[in-house]
Amino acid sequence: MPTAKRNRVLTLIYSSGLILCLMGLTVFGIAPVLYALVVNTGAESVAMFFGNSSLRSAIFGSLIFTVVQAAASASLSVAAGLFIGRVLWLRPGPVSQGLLRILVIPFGLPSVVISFALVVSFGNAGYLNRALAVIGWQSQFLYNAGAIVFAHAFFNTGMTAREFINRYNSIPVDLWQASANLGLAGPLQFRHVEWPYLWRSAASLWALVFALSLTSFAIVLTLGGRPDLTTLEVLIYQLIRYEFDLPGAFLASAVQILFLLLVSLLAFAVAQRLGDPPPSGHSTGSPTESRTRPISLSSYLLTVLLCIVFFVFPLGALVADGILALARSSAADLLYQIKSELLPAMTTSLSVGVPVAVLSTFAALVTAQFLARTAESGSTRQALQSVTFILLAFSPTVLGFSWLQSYTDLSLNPFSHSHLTVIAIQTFLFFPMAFRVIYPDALLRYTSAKETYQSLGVPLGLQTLWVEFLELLPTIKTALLLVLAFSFGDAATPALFGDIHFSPLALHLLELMGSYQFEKASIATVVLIVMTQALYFIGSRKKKHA
Amino acid sequence: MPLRSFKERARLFSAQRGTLTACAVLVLTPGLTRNHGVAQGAPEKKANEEKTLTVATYRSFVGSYGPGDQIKELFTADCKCQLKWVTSTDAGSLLTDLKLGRYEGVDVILGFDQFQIEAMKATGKLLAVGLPSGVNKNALHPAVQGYTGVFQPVDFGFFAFMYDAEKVKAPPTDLAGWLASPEMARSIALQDPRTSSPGYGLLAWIHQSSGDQKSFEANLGRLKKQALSFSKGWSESYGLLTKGEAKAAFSYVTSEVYHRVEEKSSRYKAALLSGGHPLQIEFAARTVRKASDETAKIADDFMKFLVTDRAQRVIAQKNWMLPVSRSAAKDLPPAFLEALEKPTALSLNATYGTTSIRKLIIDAWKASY
Repeated sequence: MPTAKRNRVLTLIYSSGLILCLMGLTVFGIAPVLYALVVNTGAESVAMFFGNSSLRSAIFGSLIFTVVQAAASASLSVAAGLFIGRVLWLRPGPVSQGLLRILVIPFGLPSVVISFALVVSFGNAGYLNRALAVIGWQSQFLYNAGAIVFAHAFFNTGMTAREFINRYNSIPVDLWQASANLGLAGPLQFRHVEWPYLWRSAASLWALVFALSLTSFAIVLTLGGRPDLTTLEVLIYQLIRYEFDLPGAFLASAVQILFLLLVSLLAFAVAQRLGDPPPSGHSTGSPTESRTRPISLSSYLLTVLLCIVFFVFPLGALVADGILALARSSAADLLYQIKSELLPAMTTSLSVGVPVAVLSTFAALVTAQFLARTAESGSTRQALQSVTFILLAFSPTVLGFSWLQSYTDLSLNPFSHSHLTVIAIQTFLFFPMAFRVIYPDALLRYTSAKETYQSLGVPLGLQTLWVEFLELLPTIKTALLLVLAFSFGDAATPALFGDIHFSPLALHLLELMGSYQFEKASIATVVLIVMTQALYFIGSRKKKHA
Repeated sequence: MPLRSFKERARLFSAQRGTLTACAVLVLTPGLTRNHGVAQGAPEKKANEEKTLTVATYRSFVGSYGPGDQIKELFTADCKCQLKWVTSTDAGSLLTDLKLGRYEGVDVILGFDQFQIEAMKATGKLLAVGLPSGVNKNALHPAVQGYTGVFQPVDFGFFAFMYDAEKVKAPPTDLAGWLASPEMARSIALQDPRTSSPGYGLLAWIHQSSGDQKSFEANLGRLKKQALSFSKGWSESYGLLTKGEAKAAFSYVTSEVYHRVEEKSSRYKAALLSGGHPLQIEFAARTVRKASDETAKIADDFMKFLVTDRAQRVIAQKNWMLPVSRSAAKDLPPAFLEALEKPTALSLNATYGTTSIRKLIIDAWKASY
């Protein structure tokens, strides 16, 4: 296609994408919440907040633990992801690639399944404790604050590791070569060569995991073991569901958002001090080609072992549970379950997940590239980033309630086209996630392209969009797969908006558990894992390195 | 709610074409259509076949393993009408959705429990008329007869501690024993009372049996020692029992019936307690609709149908609760009869449904940590 024509097409696609993105954010996010906020709160509710000491203490009592556990979860997930990502990148191969695929599995599982994965492996009667009992030792690993943090890390580390690998791929080859010529290795190499390319993603991922852990709910209750180890989300749920105290719920949610805003502003202040990202230059994506000294075999094996213990083992226990259930069920029952329940549920999951992944990622890509171009000043970029950050941290309970209230008050029936409604709402929900994955790389690619063009004295236009897009493909793929996994694991949106015939696999799994069908639920879990893996396999067939 | 056929949608659109707003909504938001309710655009003299009764319930009632499909099949065969289910995420959400106005076009709400009676009544959106005419109170199980004044009971269950008989050889025989037994320390999977009806039911039970606030607080201290965790809902906590993590879980006597009837297993048993077992009763109620509403008669028929032996047997065997109709129990597997006859019913005070008592109890529980 001629360059001018391609630029016109690109302009059209990008402007439509941006308009759709803004409309989506307004219709499915900002408008319903603002509407519900205006309808349910007012001056008197603010006065009530200041006059109601028990609500105030309930909010601030929950907030402290909420923030502490979210910060700890984010730190552990990012640190573990960085460590694992670095090791796997430095020693690519089938083991690293396979491990990375397994690490991302928890992202596509409903929270109740995550809890059970940890229970069957590290629980009081789990495999680990049963093995330890042989030498006469037993320990309670779960039902404390540490278990909550670990569960969140179990959920998020695959995503952070994958993203760090993408960042490693963007480090210019000449930098690696210079580093090798200077004899830099270990911490020195990490500090001077790797970290400048990683910190932006590290900050972005930290914020992402922080926001996700902030609104976590079911995992916290099951693995925390005590009522004081709960998040603000539980209070919001209680206020809406049982007390119908809508002003209270909105105030609690507002406190949550305000707190996130503070965190976001803090991140902004830090980012301002650290300045613009370094240029990406020519990167090969291969440590071998970059003449980087690979990590020692012993360090690699130790990392693989840790991954096996903390990530593969719980998932293996889940799969073993499912396989045992498979073995116990009769062929006829199994056939019936596959034909009448699992296949339709899988089809529904795919029919929702694929459009959601494509739409969210497309919207995120367009927004990220647009922001990289237009928001030249750091403060504008950060302000716009903060918006997506806040969207991520919206209380799901408040969002769900706001949508229902808005639709009901407008006499709209979202349930009449539940398929489309779920796709639209999930696209809105997962757009910020895709954005936070794509944006740091988009900024990096744009900065690099700008520098190249400026050095050549050519004004930068839309012509680099295509080049940047091609360079961004691995990151786009990561975003697509993560959103797809998240859509598969989301049972809450289909439960809220799906009609009785609309049952994706995650929701079907919960329905099985709610009807004593735990054996069938174990089988469905295996199917969900296999489905996620099959899609990852298809999505990464052409990838050379982990 | 299935997608409507093209013909049906065309008819509905035609009926509304004079309404500019409706057109605008359809054009601007293709994913959303007007809430057509149940009888919109219907001619006055309609055969029953064209009438649709809309019933709101919780999702698992109409899920793959719930009684919804069979109930629909049985009822529509009799009334020659259509039955449309609309669902809330869970039983607790029925009240929120009703208050929100989501069920304006609905004829019957099915599945809320006794802790929600007062709040449901206070919405003013339900007919608080007790049993429909023609349903004899004495035909119901004695345990629920005291609950027929406001809404109609549909099924019920006795709360109970379910235990793993392979791990617990001598289960405690009263509530105090369950709270004090060293064998059960950190071993009972419970539900969070802030997010789960059985979870709140247990605290209400402990509160009532404690007598005064001081004893209640002491008992909460004991409960703290026995709890393995407080899950969001029943599924998570019961899963902890079946995964072998907990020795016991707070559930229903009918959980044992499920394992005996469906799995032919006697591994999981309900501990029968000398002081009795509190009830959880699920109710149905007709919504307040205009007197001229043509589905009113069908709604009334549906309410009566719910307590027929046929419907009761389906609900019992698919929802794993007990039938409120005494005669329905006769044809159920023997395990149901045992679950009906062996436990002693314990009525929880109606005030446990009020927000103030609820808050008092939950605050005391949180303060025990």
